[in-house]
Amino acid sequence: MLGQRFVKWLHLRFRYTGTRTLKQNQVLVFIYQQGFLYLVLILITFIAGINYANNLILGFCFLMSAILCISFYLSFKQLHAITLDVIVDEVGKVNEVFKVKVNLQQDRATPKFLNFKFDEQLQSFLFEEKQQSFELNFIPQQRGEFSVPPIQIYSTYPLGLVRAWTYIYLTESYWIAPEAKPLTHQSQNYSNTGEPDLDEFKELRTFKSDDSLQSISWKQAARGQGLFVKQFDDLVDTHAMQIEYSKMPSADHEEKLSFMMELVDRCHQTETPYSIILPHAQTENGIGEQHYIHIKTLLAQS
Amino acid sequence: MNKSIQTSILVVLSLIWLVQLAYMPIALSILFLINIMTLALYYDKTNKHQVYKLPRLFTQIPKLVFALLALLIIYFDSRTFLGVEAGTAVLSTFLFAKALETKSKRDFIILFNFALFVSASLFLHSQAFWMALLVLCCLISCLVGLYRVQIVNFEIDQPIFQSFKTDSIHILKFITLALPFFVLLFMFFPRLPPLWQIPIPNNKAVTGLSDRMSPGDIAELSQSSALAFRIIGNMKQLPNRNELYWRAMVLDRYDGTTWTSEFANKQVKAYSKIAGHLDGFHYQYLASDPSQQWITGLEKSIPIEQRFELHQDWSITPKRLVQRTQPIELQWVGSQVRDIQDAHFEQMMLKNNLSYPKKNDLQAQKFALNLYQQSQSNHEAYIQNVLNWYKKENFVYTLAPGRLGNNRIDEFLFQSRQGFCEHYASSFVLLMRYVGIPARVVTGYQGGELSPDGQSWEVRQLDAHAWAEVYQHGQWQRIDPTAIIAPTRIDRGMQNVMNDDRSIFGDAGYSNLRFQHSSLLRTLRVWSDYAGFQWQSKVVGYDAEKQSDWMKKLGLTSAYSYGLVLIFGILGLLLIYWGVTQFWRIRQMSGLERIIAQFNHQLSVVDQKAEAETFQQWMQRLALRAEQKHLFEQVNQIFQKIVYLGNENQQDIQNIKKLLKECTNALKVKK
Repeated sequence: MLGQRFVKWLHLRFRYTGTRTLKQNQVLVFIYQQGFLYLVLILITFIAGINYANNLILGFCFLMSAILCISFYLSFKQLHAITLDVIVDEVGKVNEVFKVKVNLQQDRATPKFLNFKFDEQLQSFLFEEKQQSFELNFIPQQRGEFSVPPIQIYSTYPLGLVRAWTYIYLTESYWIAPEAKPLTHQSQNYSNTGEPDLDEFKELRTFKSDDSLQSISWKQAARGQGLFVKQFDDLVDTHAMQIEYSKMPSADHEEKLSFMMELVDRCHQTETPYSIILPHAQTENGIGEQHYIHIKTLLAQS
Repeated sequence: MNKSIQTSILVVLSLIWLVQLAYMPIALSILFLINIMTLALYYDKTNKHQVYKLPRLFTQIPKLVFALLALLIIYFDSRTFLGVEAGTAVLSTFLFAKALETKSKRDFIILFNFALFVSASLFLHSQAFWMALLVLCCLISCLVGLYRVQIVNFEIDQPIFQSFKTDSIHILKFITLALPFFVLLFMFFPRLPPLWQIPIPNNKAVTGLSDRMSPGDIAELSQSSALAFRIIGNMKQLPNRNELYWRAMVLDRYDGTTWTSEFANKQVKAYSKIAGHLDGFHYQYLASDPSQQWITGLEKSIPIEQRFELHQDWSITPKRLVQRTQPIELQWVGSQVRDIQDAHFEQMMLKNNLSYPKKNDLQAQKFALNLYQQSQSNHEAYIQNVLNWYKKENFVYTLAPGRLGNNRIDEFLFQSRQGFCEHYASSFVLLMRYVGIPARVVTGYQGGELSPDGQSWEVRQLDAHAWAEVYQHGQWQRIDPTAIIAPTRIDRGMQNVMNDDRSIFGDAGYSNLRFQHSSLLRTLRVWSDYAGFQWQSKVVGYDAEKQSDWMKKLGLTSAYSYGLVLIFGILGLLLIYWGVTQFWRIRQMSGLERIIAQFNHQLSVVDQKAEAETFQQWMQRLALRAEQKHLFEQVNQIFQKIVYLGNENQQDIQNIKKLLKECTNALKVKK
């Protein structure tokens, strides 16, 4: 009960709402694992110092306590005043890396020994320039909505006695598109290899200096008609690719989406204009990164 | 495993080994050394990938053998595992055994923490300044180890020596930061009484006094220049140097070779048995070896504290053997006081002080009786005649008198005629006893020197002395035959005698001793003892009393004041740290940054620069709030020029300063 409330409080306090410079109230500091051993050590030396009336042992104990106090400050300084900025991939794909990039900034280039902990993973990162970024890679296993697990950034510098930490809770949810799955042979005619047929060109236009030599129409050149360039236009190009959910050769919803993904990928790679038709959504023909992301999001959401 | 951590482990272990060298059985030291060397070899092999995977059993056995062997050595040496010496040895054994099985990060951290504890325990052996320095080195190396465990994942490639240096500098920086807190805690943290009884270290006192004396057995007296004790008090009240007899104990039983003390001397003397003027000068006695059991107060002194008792022979000892680092309060009652003894006890004492081995030293016995007759059996005349005889017969004071045989009094008085205080005291006492005058030997120290700051009196081991006491007119009276033979020894002190009169070293190859007493070394020694004394009294002996003195100086006397001082002290320190960091932050800013920070500070919260805002955006936002929009535009232009073209000249800085002032005004007008 109390734990739940604490987690809720953490979520509230550390939810990511945009570029953030870590202030006092955003950095937590407490004794860490072996720090407790150190604490026990302080206690034992204290008792020994008292019992043997040995001022130097007591002094040793006090010095160790003072170092512990300073550790709190130094650990805190590792995180304090760092400016964080998180950039997340707009849409991911099953079994492909989904990147969360944390941009770090500090006023002066002092070394910061940071650890990023997320999803049972732990990665160390030495932040020693004014601006650096750290990439967290997730590999989503499921299509659909994806929420980035809480990211903990902590530092146990200098002696590992004390840990200073902060969280980044990304509250937005992100979408994961299905994994592309190659189509079986019989449905190959839906795809387009993108290899232009060398003789079937649509028209000729005059040669420009940046044109490839391969596409020069040597036939015309041989006839002395001048340098022309063949403008290819294969079958699919003329009619933009329409990828339709209902036509996918599978009965399974997920598999259908995977096939669609495969086709979308191919079109995207060959820069063929394409559109998709889903049971409840439909897009215009389009091409380019924005269009691709839009399509992926639709596939992820359906 | 990382190389830098390995070196840290080796350094820590070596340091601890080095410090313990003086206190551990030799066998154990050798075993530990083997441990360190094996570890070094193993690390070297693993780094070169030359280690073969052995079955677990083979790797376990050496550790077990090591631990068992070490524990056996400790047990054979001290017959126990408890107590200070054995206890610290056992702790170190565990540390070295743990070092043999460190693999994971957690192991390293535990090892270094444990090493910290072992380092602290080293203070049980000695609280001297050099020990503090060595323990500080141990502390630093442990912290360097802990530090490296933390940063090893962020490998910054550096050669081993270089990285050790930079890491040590980091750690020293941390310690410097922690130092003010440490001083505060040390000064004002209440000193609590012991929570439970603990075994005290059974140091075998190596220097100082012995409870026996056998003059003819020592061919050459090796004089140690170590400090024996120090007297703190009003130095003006001390008697003259030739009256400074520091009394340890009475030796009154002689078996022909050795003087020992009768048990009766050790009986407790009640203060009610002392007659005469009892109030006198108070002083403090600080033994340099805290485990020394004899307190050699100024003849005659009585202890003020309950923990010490006075014996029949005016010797003072602690009731319970304790290691005391604090000075002991004593009161000098002078030699005018008298003992009131019951008749029976007195008879027994006098009888003891008349006995001598009848069969030995017949020549001396005959000589004594003759001289006694010549003195018309008058005690005082006889004593005077004996002393005159010593003087007339050219007896020599030397530290290298050679050995004497079975009839040693005869040999000394009629053949060798050279010796040091013990020879004179011993022969004099026997010459008294032969004719029926009760006499006894007293040991202790004589003389001493003022410390460099004139605040205390130093007595060294070489000031050790023996003199005689003769029973006359119902009282024991001090007679020092050495004063007749070597008056400078008593008047000017042993140190000066050694400096001036080289003949006392004898003609033996005493060059080492002579060197030891050269004046440069003497000065050095005096100063190092003085530093040791300051360390002892200011740091080691800093106790509840001194603490409350400090509190009184601060004007605080309540019981809560310690807590208050600590809390406010820590808050004050934090404030200072904060101030200093702010100061540095501002110092590190460029001129431009400072001006902008100042400007930003003057604005109301809404107008201040937001985190995600660029300078340009900020200026544009401000411009919307003021009439003279061009001002902000200008500021931005100059700013861009300075920052992006990278030419920061005074002209621009002054311009922007002026403009920002106008901007502030413009924003004010708007409100």
